[in-house]
Amino acid sequence: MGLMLQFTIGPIDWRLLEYPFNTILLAIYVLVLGILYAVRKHVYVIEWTMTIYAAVPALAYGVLVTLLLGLTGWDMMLRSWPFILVYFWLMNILGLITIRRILHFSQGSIVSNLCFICNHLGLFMAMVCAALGNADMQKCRLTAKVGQPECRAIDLTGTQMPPKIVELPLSIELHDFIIDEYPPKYVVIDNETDMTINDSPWVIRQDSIWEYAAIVYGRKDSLGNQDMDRYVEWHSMGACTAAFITAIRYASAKEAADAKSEPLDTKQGWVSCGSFMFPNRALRLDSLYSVVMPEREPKRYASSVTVYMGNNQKTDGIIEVNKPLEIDGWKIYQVSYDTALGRWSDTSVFELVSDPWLPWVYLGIYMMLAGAVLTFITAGNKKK
Amino acid sequence: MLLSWQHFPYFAIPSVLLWALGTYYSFREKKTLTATFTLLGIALFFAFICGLWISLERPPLRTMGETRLWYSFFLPVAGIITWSRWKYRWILSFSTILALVFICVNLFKPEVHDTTLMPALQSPWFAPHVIVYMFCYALFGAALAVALYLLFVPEKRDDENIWAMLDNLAYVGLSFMTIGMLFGALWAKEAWGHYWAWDPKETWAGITWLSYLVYIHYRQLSSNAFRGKVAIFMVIISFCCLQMCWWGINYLPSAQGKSVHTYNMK
Ligand code: HEM
Repeated sequence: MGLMLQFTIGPIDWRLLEYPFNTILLAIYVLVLGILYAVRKHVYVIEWTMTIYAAVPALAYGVLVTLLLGLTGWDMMLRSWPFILVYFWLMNILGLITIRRILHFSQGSIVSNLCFICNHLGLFMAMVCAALGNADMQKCRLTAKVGQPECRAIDLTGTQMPPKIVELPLSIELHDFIIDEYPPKYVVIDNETDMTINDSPWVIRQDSIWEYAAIVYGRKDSLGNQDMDRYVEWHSMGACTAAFITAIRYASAKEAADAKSEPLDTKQGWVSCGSFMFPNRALRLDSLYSVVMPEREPKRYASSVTVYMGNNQKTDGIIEVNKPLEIDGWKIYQVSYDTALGRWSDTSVFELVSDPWLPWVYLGIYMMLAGAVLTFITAGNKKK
Repeated sequence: MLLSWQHFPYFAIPSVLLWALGTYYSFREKKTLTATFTLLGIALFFAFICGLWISLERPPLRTMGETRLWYSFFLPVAGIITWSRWKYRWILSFSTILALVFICVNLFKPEVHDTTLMPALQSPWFAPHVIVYMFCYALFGAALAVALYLLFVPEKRDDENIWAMLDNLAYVGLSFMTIGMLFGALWAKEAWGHYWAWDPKETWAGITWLSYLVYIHYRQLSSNAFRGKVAIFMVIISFCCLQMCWWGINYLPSAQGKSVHTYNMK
């Protein structure tokens, strides 16, 4: 049946349910569930729906449909009818049995009733509110450049191509974009394939390092190699990290790991991960290997911003990964920066999400958490 | 002193010996000795995890080797809790053997242990999320053992107690899985702006969760009639889904390059 709908009506557009339609729909849905519950004695199908005999096949079918999604990775699935219908069916069962439990709360033990209601009603609320709230969710991507307040953003919720540009009720001014990096690493690579070699006979020792450096080109030697180049400390835009290293060769990879025996050979020179201004630089060790400094991994990146709201209010804040800024019902997430410029990026990319139904989804999630704790506590009580 | 993987054998081997002693005394029904030795082993093993945590300057939860470390820690923890609650004598031997397997993998196949942690993983949710999941893996591992036992020893399928044990393990495992999954959702909201995005890892977590739910509800049908092979296979299939979620998706073609959760491939 799902497939039939899929071919006749086509994929589902959740946008149709924008406020206030979703609120009305929710009211009607709960009302219909209530009526269905009230007439259950007269309609055998409803009575049956509320039994575990209906729940098990429904759940198993849910596993199957989701499994298809998992195996094919076909994202369209989420907006396809078979998927929606089975989840809708599960929701109906959950809704009906929750009503029954709540109305018969006085029967049975309080803890087991609470446990049941937290599990089932929590899931019901999280699913219903997430589905209906989807229509009201606004999600867009805003790119801010240092010193230029920006209120235009790309809408990420619509299905239009190309995505439409929206004007937000707030604007963001970026003051500074900061990247903290992990200490540099030194990696031995194969000269031919550029593949990383983990068991080379070389040990790398860092002698000195400039976090911010510029290259000073030296003269070419008689063979045309530029190995007279060196690096000096330099703090302006475009500076790269450079290190002077000593590479020590042992007889074998195993002896290199112990680093106890006599070294056979040493080699010294500069390596650098480069920046958008300077090339990266490898140190050639021998005919087989070279050592390089891979681009440094970011440890933290953060934007210092001022957010201006319509009513002449403004808020200063820092936005970083895992620490979104919350303003006026919007949550602002740090997502990216100008990766070509790396640590010198003067732009920062944010995602802004407004999701008015979120508190209700969270309530459902917290109920399920409580339910899980209760399940843990009560497990095994009845059987013993 | 900074602990590193080089010191691992000095902690792991005594821990396994202590757990083996605990197992031995659980068969002799010496309760105090069982608890003492097992807990000592757990404490020693935990000391190593803490030491590694301090020297890495981040929770050791990122690489597969590090998650195996937690798995070998939580197996005896789950074992001793189950034992103290329901007094199954075999449970400690099972948890010890399985922990030993994971320890051996770490001893004989040491990986390149990386100290960096990408920004999205630097969150207070990270540790509880993974630790709770590891605990649930340990419990479902035990449930799998019971299911296999019932599969190959059909005479025991009439034993009320074994089924009660399987149900208990599934209930407790599922409650931990629910908590782990919801922590993951709350964290994803903080990090990426959405709690559930049907990314391959999340999809498989959902499949696994639903699949254990099927077992739990199936067992409610009627306690006597529905004890056959179907229930046993539900546990086995669910466990396969769990493996898929843990590491299988790293090899699944449809999930390549799509998941934001592929950091444990290292
Ligand atoms: C959070 C996940 C869930 C958990 C932990 C859970 C757990 C349980 C438990 C323990 C029972 C037995 C209740 C008792 O006899 O005290 C039960 C009953 C039942 N569950 Fe679930 N369940 C969950 C989700 C679902 C879902 C998604 C459905 C939808 C199909 C469902 C449908 C049912 C039905 C129909 C019953 C029997 C009704 C009744 O005894 O009143 N459950 N569930």
